[in-house]
Amino acid sequence: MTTARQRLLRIRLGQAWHPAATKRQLVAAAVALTLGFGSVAAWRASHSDTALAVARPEQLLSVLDSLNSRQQRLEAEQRQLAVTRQKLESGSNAAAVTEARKRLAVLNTLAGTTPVTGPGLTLVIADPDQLVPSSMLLDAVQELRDAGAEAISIGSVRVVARTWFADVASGGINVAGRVLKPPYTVTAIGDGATMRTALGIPGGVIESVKGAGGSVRVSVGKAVTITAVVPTRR
Amino acid sequence: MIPVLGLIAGVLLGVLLKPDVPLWLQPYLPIAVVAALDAVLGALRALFDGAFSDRVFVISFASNVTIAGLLVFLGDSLGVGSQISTGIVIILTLRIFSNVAAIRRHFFKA
Repeated sequence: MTTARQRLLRIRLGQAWHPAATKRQLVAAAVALTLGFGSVAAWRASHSDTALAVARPEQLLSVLDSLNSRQQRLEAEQRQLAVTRQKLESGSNAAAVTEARKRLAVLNTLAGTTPVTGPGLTLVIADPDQLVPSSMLLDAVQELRDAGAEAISIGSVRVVARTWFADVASGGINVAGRVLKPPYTVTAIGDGATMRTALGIPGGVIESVKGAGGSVRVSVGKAVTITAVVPTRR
Repeated sequence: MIPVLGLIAGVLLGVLLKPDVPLWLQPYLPIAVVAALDAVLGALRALFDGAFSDRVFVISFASNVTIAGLLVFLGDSLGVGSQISTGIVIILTLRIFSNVAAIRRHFFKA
């Protein structure tokens, strides 16, 4: 049965394969030629750029939709990236941090909570007879502040906004609760030349101290250090 | 053998002549090609069944292509062109599969 079917199949295949200019083979060849030609034509058409020109409205709509959503996605991404770039370019975060640190340093200096080192001058008021009153020391501090001193200390006392001066009957000067004995060493951070000029003006600190019976020695330094700090409350 | 040569000749002609398909024909050509493929595979199956007839082959080929094109045209006119195209392609693909399965059974008995 199977062998008979196989033989039959082989005969049919042989007949069909055998080149004979019969009518049926020629007709089949013509049809096959049409198919081959049409296939190539269809392939070319689907790979040409006129595909959109003949697309159906629904297809065009879906193409348009996908293009629109793609555009929206890309635009959103572009906006996000632009914001990130702006942040990175302006470096606003880093700048803010730097600015805050600078401000913190200035405030610390002004409040007297940290030791300071920098260019400045040292003023030593020698007063062996203890004739220099506290007001004269206050004048010196005011003069230094006016000349741009950022930080001032007298002896081991940091001078800040609420530092006060008082005469002590037994000699010496009470600075914010601590009695200092001469010589008084005033250290100021700031423009040393300017401060020295301010101290030396006629009728200024140096002249007053000399008139009171003391002597003043001023030395300008490039790196003056104030280690005294205001005791933090609590 | 001659039909196979005819197929090869057709492909060569298409490659060499670089036919530009007119725009009005472009939506129908792919469907027509699938329909023609179905007709050819049906003819091959008939050949192995011993029932091949050139007349039937030509008529089935022409009617397949024509009906597919007409249906797509009708669908386009009614506004359901893409759905009808999809339906035609599905039906023709099913027929191609069944034709190939029949041919396969002749060779492998499975």
